[in-house]
Amino acid sequence: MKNPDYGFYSFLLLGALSVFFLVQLLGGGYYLLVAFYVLQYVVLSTAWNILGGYGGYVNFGTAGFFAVGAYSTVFFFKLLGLQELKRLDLGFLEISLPYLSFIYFPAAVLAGAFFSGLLGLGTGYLTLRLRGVYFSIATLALSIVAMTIVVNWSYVGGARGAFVIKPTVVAGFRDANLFVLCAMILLAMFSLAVARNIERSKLGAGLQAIRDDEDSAECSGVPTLRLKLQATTVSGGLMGAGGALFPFFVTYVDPIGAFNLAHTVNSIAMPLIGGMTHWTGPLFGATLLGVIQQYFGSKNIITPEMSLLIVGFLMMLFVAIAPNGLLGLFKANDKTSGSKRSTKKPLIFGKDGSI
Amino acid sequence: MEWSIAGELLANAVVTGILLGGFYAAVAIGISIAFGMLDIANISHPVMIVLGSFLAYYFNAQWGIDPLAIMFPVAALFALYGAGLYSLYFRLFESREKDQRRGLAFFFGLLFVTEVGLILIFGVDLRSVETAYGEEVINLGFISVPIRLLIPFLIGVVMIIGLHYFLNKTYFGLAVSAISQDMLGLRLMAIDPIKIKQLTFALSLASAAFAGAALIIIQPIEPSIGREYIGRVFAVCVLGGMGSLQGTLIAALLLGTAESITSTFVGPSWAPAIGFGILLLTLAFKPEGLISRK
Amino acid sequence: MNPSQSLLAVNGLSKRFGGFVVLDDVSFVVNAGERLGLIGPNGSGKSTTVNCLSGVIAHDAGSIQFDGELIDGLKPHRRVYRGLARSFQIPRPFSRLSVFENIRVPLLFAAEHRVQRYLDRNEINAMAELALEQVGLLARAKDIASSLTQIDLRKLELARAIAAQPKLLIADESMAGLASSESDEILSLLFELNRKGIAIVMIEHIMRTVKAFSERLVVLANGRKIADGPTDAILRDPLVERIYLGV
Repeated sequence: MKNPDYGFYSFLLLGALSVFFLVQLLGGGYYLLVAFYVLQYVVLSTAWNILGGYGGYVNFGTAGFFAVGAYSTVFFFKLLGLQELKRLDLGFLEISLPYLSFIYFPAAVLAGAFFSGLLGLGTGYLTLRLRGVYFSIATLALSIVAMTIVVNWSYVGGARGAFVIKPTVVAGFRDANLFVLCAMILLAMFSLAVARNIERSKLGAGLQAIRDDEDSAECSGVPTLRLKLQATTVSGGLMGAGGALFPFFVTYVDPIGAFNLAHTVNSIAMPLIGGMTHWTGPLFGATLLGVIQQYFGSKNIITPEMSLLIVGFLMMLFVAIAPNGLLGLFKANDKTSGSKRSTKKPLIFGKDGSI
Repeated sequence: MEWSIAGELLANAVVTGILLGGFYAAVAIGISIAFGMLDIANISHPVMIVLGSFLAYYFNAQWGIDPLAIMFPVAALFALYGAGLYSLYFRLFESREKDQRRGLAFFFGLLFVTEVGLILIFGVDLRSVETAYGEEVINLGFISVPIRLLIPFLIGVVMIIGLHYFLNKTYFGLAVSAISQDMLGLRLMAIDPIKIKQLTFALSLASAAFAGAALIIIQPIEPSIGREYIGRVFAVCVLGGMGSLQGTLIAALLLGTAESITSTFVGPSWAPAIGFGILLLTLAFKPEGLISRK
Repeated sequence: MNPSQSLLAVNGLSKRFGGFVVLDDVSFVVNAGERLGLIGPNGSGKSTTVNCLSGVIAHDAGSIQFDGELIDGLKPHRRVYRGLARSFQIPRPFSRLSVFENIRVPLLFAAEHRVQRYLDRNEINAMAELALEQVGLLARAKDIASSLTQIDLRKLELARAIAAQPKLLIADESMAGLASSESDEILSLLFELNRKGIAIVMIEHIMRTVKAFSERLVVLANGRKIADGPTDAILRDPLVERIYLGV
């Protein structure tokens, strides 16, 4: 069974390189923004789907997990005084400015993932012993509470927000923005790999059983609580990782932007539309919806509020009529490997290129 | 001297908290009915309350109508909406599978769409009402009872008492109680459980109209304010036990008091987090709530 | 009969829901390889007993000893690991998974605990296939569970319960709603499983079946045990007759 794996990772590599070079070919700037936006949502919807699609536990707090990741970056940025940092002296090694980003970007991602993962674990532990609805409502309330805490916390800027300085010089990159994009590309690929691995593992199989009938699963030997906690932690952690990169891209972080409900709605709507049973679903949904949102937004055809309104309606529509997403409408669960799906990516970027 | 000042502050905080608690009960009732009795997780309820507030604002701003007057027609409107929404919900979800998850996502979509709709129509500015009694305060010694808190408190208490009476003394109300217990028995008595459920859900939505009027009497509103209440409602329902009216009232009073004391001695901006803190403690130690049903 | 030799020892099991007492001081044993029938009129507490035994609900008082160890407070999946399995009255398959997956997925977690060593994928697949073969569902392994007939669903339910090679199976009304020929099929299946060494507690309403299958009977009424002994003797007991006929 080695071939499908090589196929998958080649697909990822191909995708990553395509995005990277295509963006530069198109001249960066706006296209870089679109790519970042879409990839951020690939991470968020893939993360959401691990618990929501595979396990059937709906998380309404994506914005909260995302923001915790973002604010952990803000916090450490201030704590370590990274603004003024020109070089890092580790004794045996001295790291100069252009290379610093290679240290603190991964560190930020790990920190964000850690805190959000912990949050996921905590929320899960408290609510997953009750019915699924309680978990969902708790995640919803959680976002708001997290926002209240942040608003009251002046160290990270409170309601006024905080600035995180983007690196000015990064070794090997013409434009520091490209480096940030690159980080997001890597994170997106990582998320897809994690999702696919879970899907094919014991955890994924157990989650499917839980989704279909939790009590029955428990009584036939599936350790439901343990699996649910694993999924919640991984899901939350990935969302936090995505959030951790956010400040480097926008440079100004405030509670409204970080806790934006759009993060939550999109991360649910995208897997819902793209398909919740397979790792390709969130990828498809995020790309489709993300590109559409950016396109209509850029042409000022619709305001951001209208766009959100539409996503909300789409969500209701799909939940009611097509809960298996667009892909589900056409065929039943088809678990063929990535080779068939790889035709979709170039197609979408074909659309992108011709805009 | 410091002690007596602290004592006065505390006494006032407690009174304010109790009044606030009555209001929270009004807010939580709808969810307690929908979720506790019908097993429908209608998380769009808080934003319906806000919609009720905005309608009260609109009629007050345009024609000077008092919220306490407008809440009755609005309740009727909401009841109709609730009946329709239930039919839709039933056709889409309940008749197919006992799958709450899709219903949950549906209601979340509804919550979201309604909130964005409010933003589009009314904008994000704070809105408030002008009433004859809005500024008045009753002074009992060193305790001050603001009318704008007293009235919502009364609304909440009246709703709880009214509902209690309805559920236990009237024929229809008893049928509603029976719904969650024995559907087959109901059918055998030639009562259509679906119709009962529909009317119950309508009742739940109607309560949002009253809660909405109460809300705008207490404070100015803006579209996203409903979100603050999600945590509070959740806390009240879990603490009080789903579907138990006495539990809802007691839990609401406790929450209101806790928030008020925190607000007075620590700071008002922490208030929304209190409910959640209480919720976490409850979930960690006594998930069945104060008054268990089973 | 020394309690410490029995496979399952239930002692003073009690449960109340709110103010309503559902089980009141119920005690009985099940021996290894035995066929026990648990009977009683509707509402006598049979389902609650099963749920307490499998760990779905927590009993208020009393103890449950399985295979020499107390299992009170253990989660259901842990009881499966120890060899205590149950099937559901109304079949609860994983409807979106295939028949084979329905058996394989729980085995991924339970099998190693049962055989006490590491098992690779192939061995687990083999165990799943074996279970399907024992109930006669191997031919339908690739079908989606939701497409199965009523009797096949019940077979699937049993297959899933025995896949992890339990020592005791609680068969909760495995034949409810089936035609008599289908019931007979399930009955002979249960006999075969018992021949392989699995003790079976059968909860059933159909007297003919219970009489044919059980070596011993435990009779519940109003949450209490009113009779416990060899099948023939119990069925002739006037007290039991009265409970069932309401005389």
